[in-house]
Amino acid sequence: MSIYVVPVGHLKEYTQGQERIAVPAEGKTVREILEALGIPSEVVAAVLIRDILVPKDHVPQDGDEVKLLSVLGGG
Amino acid sequence: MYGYGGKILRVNLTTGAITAFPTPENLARDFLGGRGFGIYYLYTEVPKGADPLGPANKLIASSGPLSGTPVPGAGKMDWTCKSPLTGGYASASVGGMLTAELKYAGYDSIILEGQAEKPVYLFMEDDRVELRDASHLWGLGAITTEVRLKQELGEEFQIATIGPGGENLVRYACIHHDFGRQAGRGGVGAVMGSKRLKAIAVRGTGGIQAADPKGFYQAARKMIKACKESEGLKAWQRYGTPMVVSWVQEVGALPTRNFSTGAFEEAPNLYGEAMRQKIVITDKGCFGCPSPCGKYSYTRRHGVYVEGPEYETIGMLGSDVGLGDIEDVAYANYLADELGVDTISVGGVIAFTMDCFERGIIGPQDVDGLDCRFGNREAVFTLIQKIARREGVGNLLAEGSKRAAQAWGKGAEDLAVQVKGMEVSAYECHRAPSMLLAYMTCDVGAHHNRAWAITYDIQTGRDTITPDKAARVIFLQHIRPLFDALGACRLQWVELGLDYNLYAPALQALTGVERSTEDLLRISERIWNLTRLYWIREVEGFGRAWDAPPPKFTKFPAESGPTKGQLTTWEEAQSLLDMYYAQRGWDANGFPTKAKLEELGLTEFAPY
Repeated sequence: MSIYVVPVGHLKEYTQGQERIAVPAEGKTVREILEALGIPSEVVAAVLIRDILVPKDHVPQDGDEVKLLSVLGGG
Repeated sequence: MYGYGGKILRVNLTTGAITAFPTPENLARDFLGGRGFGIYYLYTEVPKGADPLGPANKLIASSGPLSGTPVPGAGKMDWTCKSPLTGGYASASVGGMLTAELKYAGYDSIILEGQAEKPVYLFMEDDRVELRDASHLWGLGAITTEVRLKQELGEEFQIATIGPGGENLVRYACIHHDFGRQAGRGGVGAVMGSKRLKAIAVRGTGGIQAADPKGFYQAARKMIKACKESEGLKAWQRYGTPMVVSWVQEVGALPTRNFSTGAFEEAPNLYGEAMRQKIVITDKGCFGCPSPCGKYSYTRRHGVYVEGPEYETIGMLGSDVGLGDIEDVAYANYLADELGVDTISVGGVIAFTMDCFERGIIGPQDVDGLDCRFGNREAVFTLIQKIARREGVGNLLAEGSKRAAQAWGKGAEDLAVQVKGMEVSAYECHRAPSMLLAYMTCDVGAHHNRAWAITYDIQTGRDTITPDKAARVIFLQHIRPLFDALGACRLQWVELGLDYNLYAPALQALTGVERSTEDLLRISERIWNLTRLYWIREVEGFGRAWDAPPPKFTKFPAESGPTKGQLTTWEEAQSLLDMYYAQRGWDANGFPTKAKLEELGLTEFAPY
């Protein structure tokens, strides 16, 4: 069982440029997955699954593609 | 002159005289347009010491060279005047369709001067320009007025209006356009109201000439393609600025109960998806926008439509006043829009009032018997209406939180979260040095749109007080307002990652004038420094004391949340200011040095 983390833009710096990372699903929250990947939660502005915003305590399901958006410039 | 509408319109509301003159080429060369034209005419034509609400003040509405063209987001218009809220420089930007229509009518700016004896509106249909009676519109809401004029004149007219807030000279009244957009800050709507100008209706059937049409279209198509291919586009289109509410909550920057803290326990009800599910009915964009951020909503509980609420209103009329239901925030947004007052300032004023009430500085007798505790939505709704109509306590609150605090005393001054008299917008910065410095030094008062620096603090650490933070703020203060001079939206760069270096070649193809990105940033720096000179000239004793941080961030530690117990000391704020002045080429009092003025070609403007 896997989910796929897709860091967008600057967030690829935290994944050595990888654009799509398969991680075991294992019932982890988004926050826990970020921690495991070494991506500070604070730099992730939005988490989307099928283009819908989900909170960081959401548990992705098998096969979900979890897109991570950084905070760009705001306001 | 390629790229421009070609003329500047001068409307004297006292005499009724309407004249036009060619847009000066040297003005376009040195100040670009938009807010650049605004500060130039404000500085050179409004006499020193003019009463902001008197006939000598001028309201300058300007498009920019990119307005109305195929580049992304080419729909921004600047409104500049002497501010009745701060006594200094006011510049407010509004998105929509009006800026394009103005250029198609053949104009780059409208200079509104004097005062009409009776309510009027300005009618413009290409070269046919008239002042018409507006007595049948006076007293109507800002949105209602737009509807009425479109019915009278035709849907193709683009219209700017004021509501009762502007008519009643509320010092933070705004100018409304396109069913829910505002030139919000600094009281530009009050200046329009002081001239008894209820609305401007524009129809233009001309076009814009490009120096290199093929090259310009290629440049614009490249930019639009980049926007369409942006990985963040879908999310941005679905949510707009409310997308960041959850992030701002997480990092402790969501203003809560008059900036007492940065995390609101009811915030999840205000998140982007909750809003989308509960009230959003469609997306709405400005002229030429490939990424419409506007969310047009309907609140069933209150039975009104509103564009919004966007992030700032969610912060200032939501968490900052203790409202945790998006339907209530939407209704407060609607009231502010229809009545014509800035949602940021009115939220800040109400939050300040609630803070004073809860601390016992004021009592029910001071607020017309209202229960002004945080979270009381009826108090929020009632106060917005009282303020717009200057009824009861609304008359004092219409003056802004700084003046209200002076009237109430007893420590209220420490609770007014403002800089230069303008209420701080929706980023709580007890411990966010770059963002705090941005608010301290913003050229219109405490507004985030010049330098949105909160992410820099998150990325580099909240605890460092270092020169790079000042450098970051200065860079942002040049690049972000550059868009306000160009007449285009910055959000394609800011939110979609569009390369801002694409604008210079597009502008060159349009105007035929060769300029690099650095050249454009230099013009923006020139504009920035001229706005500084305006403050120095107009405000007795202006200097670094006016760049002071709000006491809320230096005397009252954050009460809870991720920044609990934190604040920025006065000494740290002063240290940031020292670094900022030094990097700007200003002296220790915040005055641009003669060398800096010479470098920027501003020597002739110096009031010292």
